[in-house]
Amino acid sequence: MAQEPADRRALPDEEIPSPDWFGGEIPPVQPSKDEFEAEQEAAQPELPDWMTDEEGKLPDWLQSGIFISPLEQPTQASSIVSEPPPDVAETKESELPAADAKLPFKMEEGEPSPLEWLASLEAEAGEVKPGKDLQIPPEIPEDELSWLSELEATYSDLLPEVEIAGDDAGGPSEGFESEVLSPPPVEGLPSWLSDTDAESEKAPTPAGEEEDLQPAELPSWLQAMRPLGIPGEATNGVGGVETEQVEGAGPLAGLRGVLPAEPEVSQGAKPSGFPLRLQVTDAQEEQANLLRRLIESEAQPRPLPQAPILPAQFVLRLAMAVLLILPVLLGVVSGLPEFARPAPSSEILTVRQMIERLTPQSPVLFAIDYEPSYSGEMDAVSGAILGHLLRRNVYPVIISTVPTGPIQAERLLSLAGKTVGQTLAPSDQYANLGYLAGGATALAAFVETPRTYLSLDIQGERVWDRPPLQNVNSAAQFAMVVVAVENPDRARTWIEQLSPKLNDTPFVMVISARAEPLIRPYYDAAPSQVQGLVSGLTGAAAYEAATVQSGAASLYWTPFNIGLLMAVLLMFLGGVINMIAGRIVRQKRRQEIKNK
Amino acid sequence: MTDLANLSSIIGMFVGFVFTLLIFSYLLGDNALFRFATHVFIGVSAGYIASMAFFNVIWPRLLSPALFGLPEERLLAAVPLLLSGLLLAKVTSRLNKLGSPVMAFLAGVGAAVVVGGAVTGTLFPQTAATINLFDMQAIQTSGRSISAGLFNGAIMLAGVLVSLAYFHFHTRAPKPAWLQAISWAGQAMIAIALGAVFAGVYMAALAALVERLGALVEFIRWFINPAT
Repeated sequence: MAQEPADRRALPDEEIPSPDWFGGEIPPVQPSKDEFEAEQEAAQPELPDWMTDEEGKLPDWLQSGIFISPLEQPTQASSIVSEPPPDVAETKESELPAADAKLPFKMEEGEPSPLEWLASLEAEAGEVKPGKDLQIPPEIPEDELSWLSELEATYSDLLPEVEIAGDDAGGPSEGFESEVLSPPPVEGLPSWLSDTDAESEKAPTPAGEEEDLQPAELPSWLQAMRPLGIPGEATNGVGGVETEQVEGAGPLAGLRGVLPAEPEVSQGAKPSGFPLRLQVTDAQEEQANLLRRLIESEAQPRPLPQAPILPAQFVLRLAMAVLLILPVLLGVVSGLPEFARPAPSSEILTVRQMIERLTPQSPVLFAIDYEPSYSGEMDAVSGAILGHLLRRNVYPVIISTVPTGPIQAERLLSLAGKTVGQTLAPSDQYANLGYLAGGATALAAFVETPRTYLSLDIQGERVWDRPPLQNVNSAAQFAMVVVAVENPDRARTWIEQLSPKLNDTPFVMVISARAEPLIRPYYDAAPSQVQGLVSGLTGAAAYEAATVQSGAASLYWTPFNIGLLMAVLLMFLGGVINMIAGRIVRQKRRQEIKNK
Repeated sequence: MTDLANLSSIIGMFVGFVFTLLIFSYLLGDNALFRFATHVFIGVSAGYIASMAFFNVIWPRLLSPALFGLPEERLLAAVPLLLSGLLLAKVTSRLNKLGSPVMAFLAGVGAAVVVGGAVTGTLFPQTAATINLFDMQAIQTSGRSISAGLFNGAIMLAGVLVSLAYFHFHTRAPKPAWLQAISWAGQAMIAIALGAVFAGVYMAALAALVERLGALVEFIRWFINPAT
């Protein structure tokens, strides 16, 4: 508790909120002039007679020197010795120096010293430290000062800085009481006054001179000694500059370092300001720090993860390619193990029977309607049918709704001719009508009027005048219509545009394996919209087996089956690995849940 | 002539061999060789299609009759020539309205043909085929037993119904339990059908792989021993 005033002194004024008991009527910061006069009147009985006039009042010259309102007081004044040193205070009047004779009054034996009021003030402020130490009025109960303790706890981190600042500024310190402030050197001041008080008091006072002095008149040189109007900075005797509070009123007006007569908190404090530091809890501060770290971590560049030399996907792709290609390649090279060709199904047998019924030079419309990318499969399938047709010596009329179809047809006819040992002549043994532009619309038109729509073949020769085609005026008048197509949508277009208008003309679809699930319903329907269906390499191999011929489908059959077996094996292995991996992952999750 | 045919065949085999290897290089990842091969294929295809369109369609059916044909052929060729000119106006923003009637004609005729073909070629025949699954006379004619024919027909009908029910649009949520069960069955049917399509795609690709590997082996054999 004894340390509180010093701590409170360290608090900045603008951060001290006003307490509740202090929020009502704020007492005047400085006593007014009237109050000073009242106090002075109350103190007059203590004044010696020699300091008063006939009416018991202080003379004007003395009042003008003492009662200076703080409002009238200059902000800076020179400091003089604040209080006499203890040894000087205890010195008897008889031991005073002779300089006493120069004073305009004489002290009688037994009379109270005119400086007793100073001694009384000193007694009251005995334990109060000089300077900015707070003087807590005794009438304020200690409970009402709890706000000061709270402020001390809140701004405890500011105390050391303020104390250091106060020390640096030359403010009052613990040893301030023992210091004797020296007045600044004033020009024209007698040397005996510029010396210390002890020396001056030791100086002998010439007797009889005091009778010569005029009472109640302060000589001009003494008036000049008064510290009023002199700048308030003074050296502390060791060369440093002291900035201390200068008393602005009362008998000690102009003196530096005197004890304040009222608590400092009651003196014109600045309005309390808001602290610049946010009042946050520890949790909030921790969260703010976490957010700051997150934002900072986002701004920090992170090194890219080093790509593995062999990514797992690349390894998997390569492994699957090797597992698939290598056995197939071995099957292509060796032809082993030899797989038996599939037994012909009913639709295969139906197609064979329909072709067997064709008479030589019968016009057969053959559509080569697949993209070159599917020629590996479709050439084998359509080659088997075309080879059988050529053996029956029919007259194929080639058409295509794919731009590359005509040239693919030429290649296919060439290959099929080799299988049957023939070299086909374009005009005599077949007709290539070329590209049928216009999609479904052109197809519908061609089905109705083929002569009008396509009159020339790809060599630019007239087609319909040839003997096999002289009686053909519509698609229904062909002996058979065969469409080789790999695209399900294109196959459906052919079926939709041709099947309702073909009447009894056999309609055979030679399709890719990928189109079979979507085209088979047209074959299985009752009545069937497609009378024959040859699907994929399996259908081609079966057809070759049914027609006792060996074409590309028979050549591809063994490696094709090896590839299918490898696919089944890979799917099985993949399923097993996936199952095991899934079980391991589930076990790990369960273990993690248990551990949590 | 035979030597030239053989020479072109050998060049064709060599080009096919090289480009097959370039395409197979994609197994090692996307690379310049693979891109070069695909660019060559695209360029060759585009050039071939353009020449095919000109020499197979534009010249013999449009320009030749218009320039060198008989008067009636010229008159007939004037109609597609005029429509083609109007269609070319679509390339400019100022004249594109001139091509709109031609586009409307093409779209209208195309839609009519496609819709008509779908109705007469797929919808009605397939609906009738589903109904005819329960035709006793047809079953007897096909040579199957009636019970087997009816069982097969019931499965087909159930598959059709549940597949259609899967696409049922229901605004009230949630669906009734019976409709949801039927939708699940339809979903299973569609999954089986898509699985069959995927198997067909794999078989088609495998056939192409076998054909390409066979071509490589054939070229290498010829290269080692041309007499074969």
